[in-house]
Formats: sequence, structure tokens, C-alpha cells
Amino acid sequence: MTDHDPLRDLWATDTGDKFTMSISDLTARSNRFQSRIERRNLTEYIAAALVVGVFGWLAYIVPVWSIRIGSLLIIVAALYVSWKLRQIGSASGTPNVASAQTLASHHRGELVRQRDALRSVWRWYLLPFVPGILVFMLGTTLETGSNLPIWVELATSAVSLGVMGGLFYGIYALNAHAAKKLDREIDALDSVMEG
Amino acid sequence: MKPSQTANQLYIEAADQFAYAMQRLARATEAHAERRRDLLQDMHVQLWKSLAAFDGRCSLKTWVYRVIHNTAASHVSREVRQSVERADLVEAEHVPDFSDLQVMIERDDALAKLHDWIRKLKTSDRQILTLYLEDLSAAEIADITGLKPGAIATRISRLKTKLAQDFKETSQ
Repeated sequence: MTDHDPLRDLWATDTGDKFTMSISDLTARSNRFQSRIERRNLTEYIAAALVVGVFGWLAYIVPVWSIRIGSLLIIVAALYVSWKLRQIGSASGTPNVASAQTLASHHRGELVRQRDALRSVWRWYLLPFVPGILVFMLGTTLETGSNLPIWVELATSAVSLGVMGGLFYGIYALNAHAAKKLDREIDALDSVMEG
Repeated sequence: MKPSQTANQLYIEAADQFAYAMQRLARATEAHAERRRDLLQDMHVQLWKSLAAFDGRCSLKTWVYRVIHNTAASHVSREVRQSVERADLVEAEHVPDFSDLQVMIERDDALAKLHDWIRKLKTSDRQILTLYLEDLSAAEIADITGLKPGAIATRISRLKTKLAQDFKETSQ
């Protein structure tokens, strides 16, 4: 490996103008990064506030108990997801510093983080909305005073629930598949690290 | 954590000493000029911030290479998430259009084509090859990557063979 290698000579010719950053440039860029995170958090809070506003308004104006309960459950879910996002963000992003771990450990850590996120996301991001959506949908189907026969309304609800269930299952299955793929990558990396 | 005066001084020294290594790594990682500049700036910011925690348990050189390579790897992960497909080494279909190593060295755009080839490698292969090209020994690369020196030497040999083979194949 210490033999003279023309590739290394070629590589070393790649110089050009030396890129430097002053301490004030570094501080400014670091602050910009922090501002981006704060903007992202703000967007998530605005989205949660919109859900709370719209469903809170519905719960206030619609005199149907199932719709009111469904709306309140959706509001609780939105607040929970918002809290969870903040919790995850502060756990993973506080230092904002690239680690000086070995490259293999850093890579493994990234793979584990991605795998765990894929495995858990449906539990805390999608599942909390399910009770509220179910109650809300049943409420709109059964209690809005439609003239259609009850079996037609129930069949319509069943189709809507089926589509929603299929969508949720699809998201779960895709995430589970991607997590399994990451598991295989982690195993392969472990065997290389063990030498 | 805000870097101290000592960390600032350490950063200035490291940035001066490893400026070209960072520029070369950025070029071998990101083809798009604007995103490459972003990556380079991120490497500098991450190095500056990380040096506040530098405790001398490894050499400054090892520390710098770990931080900049980890920053580059995170950049690639973000790009991949944004639908930039990267081929596995053994699956790389597109190879540079030049005949052999000697011809490559003689060509003006040889470096650009070498970067192009390296960018198509998977992250760990790219890390090992660029560290090798920075004139680091197998033991130093092992210290930075956390892999065994024997595995590093094997991987480098395999990569160089693959590189030479790809060049030969395209010339035929």
C-alpha cells in the first residue's frame, strides 16, 4: 500500500484556491442552520394549530355528539403528534455537531436511527388519529339525517374505512420493508466491523 | 456548545492544514456545484463546532477526517432521501470513458472523471478510497473508519482492480 501510486499523484494535483471561512462566517452559517430548524418546528406547530382550529370549530358548531367526540379525539392526536415531533427533534438534534466517532460507528448509528424511525412512525404519527377519524366518520354517516337506507350508509362507511385502512396498512408495510432492508445493512456492517 | 478561543485556534490550524483534503472530499462526494459549496461549508462548520469537544484521545488528523467524512456521509444520506440514486460498486453500470490509467492521467479532465467514478461508489467504499488517495496508511484509515487494517487493504486492492477493470472495459 505504500508503493508509489499514480492515482495518488493525480489526486494530489487537485488543489485550486484554498477555501476558508472566518469565525464570523462559521457563526453566521451555524445560526442560519438553527433558524432553519426553528422554521421547520414553527411549520409543524402551525399545522397542529390548524387541525385544532378546524376541528375545534366543528366540535363547537355541529350539535352531534359523535362528531364532537371525534373532533376532540383528532385534536388530542394532533397535539400528541406535535409533542412527539418536538421530543424527537430535541433528542436527535440538540448538539448539531457531526460526531468524531469512527466512520463505521457513525454509519451504523445512522442506519439504526433510520430503521427505528421507520418501525415506529406509524405508531405515533398515524395510529393516534385512527380513533378520532373512526368516530368522526361514523358520526357523519349515522347522525346527519340522510334519507338513504341505513345499509347504504353503512356500506359507504365500510368502503371509506377500507380505503383508509388500506392506506394505513400500505404505509406500515412499506416502512416495515424498508426497516428490514436496513436491518440487513446493519448486519452486514457488523460482520465487516468484527473483521 | 459554543467553541472556545482554544477551539477557534485549533480550527484555524486544522482548516489550513486540511483545506485541500476537505475540498477534494467535497468534489468526490457532490457533483452539483452549489450543493458542493454547501457541503464544504457544512464540513467547516461541523469541524469548528466539534473541536470544542476535542480531547486529544486521537490525533487531530484522525479527528478531522472522521468529522468531515461523517458530514459527507450525512450529506449523501440526505441526497439519497431526495431521490438521488447511487449505484453499488458491483452494480455501477456507467463508467468513465477513457482507456487506461496512463491515458487518464494525461487527460485534462481526468480528475473530473475520477471524481465521477468515486461518487458512484457506496459510502464506505468512497470513504476508504478517498482516504487512501489522501496518502493515508492502512493503519491510519483503520483508525478513522473503525475497520480492521487487513479489511482496509483488501478493500483498497479490490477497488483499484475494479477501477482499472472499468477503464479497460470502456476502452475495448
